[in-house]
Amino acid sequence: MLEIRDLGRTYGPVTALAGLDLTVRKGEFVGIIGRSGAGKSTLLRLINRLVEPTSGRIVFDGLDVTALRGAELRAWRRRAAMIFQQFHLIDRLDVITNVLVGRLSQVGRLRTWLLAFPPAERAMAVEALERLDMAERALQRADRLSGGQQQRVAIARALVQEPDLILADEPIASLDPLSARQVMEALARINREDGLTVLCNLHALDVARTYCSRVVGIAEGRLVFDGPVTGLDEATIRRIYGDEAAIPKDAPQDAAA
Amino acid sequence: MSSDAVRLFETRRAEQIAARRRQTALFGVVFLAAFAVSVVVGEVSLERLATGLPRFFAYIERTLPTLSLATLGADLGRWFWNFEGWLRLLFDTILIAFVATTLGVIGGFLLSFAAAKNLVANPWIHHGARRFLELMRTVPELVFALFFVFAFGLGPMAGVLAIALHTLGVLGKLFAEINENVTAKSLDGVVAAGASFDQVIRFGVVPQVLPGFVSYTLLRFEINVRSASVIGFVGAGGIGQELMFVINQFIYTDISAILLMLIVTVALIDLGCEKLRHRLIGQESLK
Repeated sequence: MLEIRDLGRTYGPVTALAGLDLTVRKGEFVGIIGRSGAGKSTLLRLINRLVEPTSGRIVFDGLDVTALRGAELRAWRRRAAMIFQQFHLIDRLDVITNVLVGRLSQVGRLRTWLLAFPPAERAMAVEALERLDMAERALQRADRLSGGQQQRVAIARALVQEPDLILADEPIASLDPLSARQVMEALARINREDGLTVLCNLHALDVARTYCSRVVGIAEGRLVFDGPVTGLDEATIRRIYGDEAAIPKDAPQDAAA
Repeated sequence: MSSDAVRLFETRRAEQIAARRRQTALFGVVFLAAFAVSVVVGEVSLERLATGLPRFFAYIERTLPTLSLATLGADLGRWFWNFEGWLRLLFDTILIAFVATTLGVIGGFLLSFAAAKNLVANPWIHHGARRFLELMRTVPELVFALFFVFAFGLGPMAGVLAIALHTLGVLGKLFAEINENVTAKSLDGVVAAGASFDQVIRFGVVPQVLPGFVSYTLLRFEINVRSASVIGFVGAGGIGQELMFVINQFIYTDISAILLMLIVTVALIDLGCEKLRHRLIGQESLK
């Protein structure tokens, strides 16, 4: 169980996140929606500790994540796998090595420096790629792949971390509709089959409606909605996306724009 | 309303241009002043150039041997009478450059990460590394070589150490600047997976920077071959030591013979390194 209490982050005079409370149970698929700059990315990066909180605490199964340092922090990052909007692969490395980055915390230093991963690790990486239909591309350079393919490689990297949590930060915002569907379905399958908890930032409301059992709405760094997708009414949507967003009922995906 | 926006933009643009023009003018004045002072202090004068230039050519002429077509073979033989000995010294020189470059690259590689602001949050460490690299490249190789000749005696050892330290300073700085241009994207991707600092370097940084490192390393090797031939002047081994000897002893034709061999060697190494560099950079195998 992930418990977030009064979590806040300011950048100088700008408040990215203002005292957020959130509890996520194991195995949930939570969609976090809100406009750009609402604080969604900051929230996920705080959970992985890529960003340090200015207030509040994050506790996972009794472990105080906000207090971790050094090796413990790295061990936590392995458990809280990130997926990024821009994939964040290493362009000049091949696909398999990119996936093996997810194993870095488990493999000896010397081996990682020589890129000499044991066969068992390589097999694990290939199997993860296989689950995402990317095994055939394993030896290609990452920058040769399309966006959707790169994101699936990034998901494979997250999988081999053997995480407890998947934190997906706008995973489909840079993808075409077909690739976006493949990526979202991969995340949903992992959530279903592996029982992994997924927190997924999304612009688009219709995507959240399709995939998420629970939706969290954030506006200006504050939680403004938390509940099942069906609980989202016009007024709540306006609160999340702001009054300027006129959202016709029949075309909710316009909220993404 | 749009014309308001346009006007605001144009105003700001004009301000920016004006500010830049002031800066350029200021730079120009400072540059001219520095140049003028340098000419006076450095005693650069056209008059002295005019009187000195003929002497320069006279010296070169004196180093040239008399070759005649009828006895060309024998003349060349006499000119390059110590061809094998000089070749061995040239080979020594290249070895000095090679060993020194290798040592310098290793040191520069390691320190370049400590000196990169984006990789090391602790300002003490990266400032410390920067200052150390600065010191290493500010002290001229010849000065280092003098110290080391004093400490370790005449011979290549002093030359190797002197060039290695200077190379470390130069490459460490250049490498660090390449490191600072690494995109944050690949760093995040590796950090978020729970990688340790050195693993972040290995995966987030090294694959991106390696082509640049290789390019600078080969360039530095070319430069070091030249440095290694000069460094012998203070007794630090190689062809330079021999060159200094024949210059001091006024063995004129030997001077031109050695210089000619040196120029050909350096040119060959330049060509070779350039070829190698282009091939390596295009390659995918650098990881």
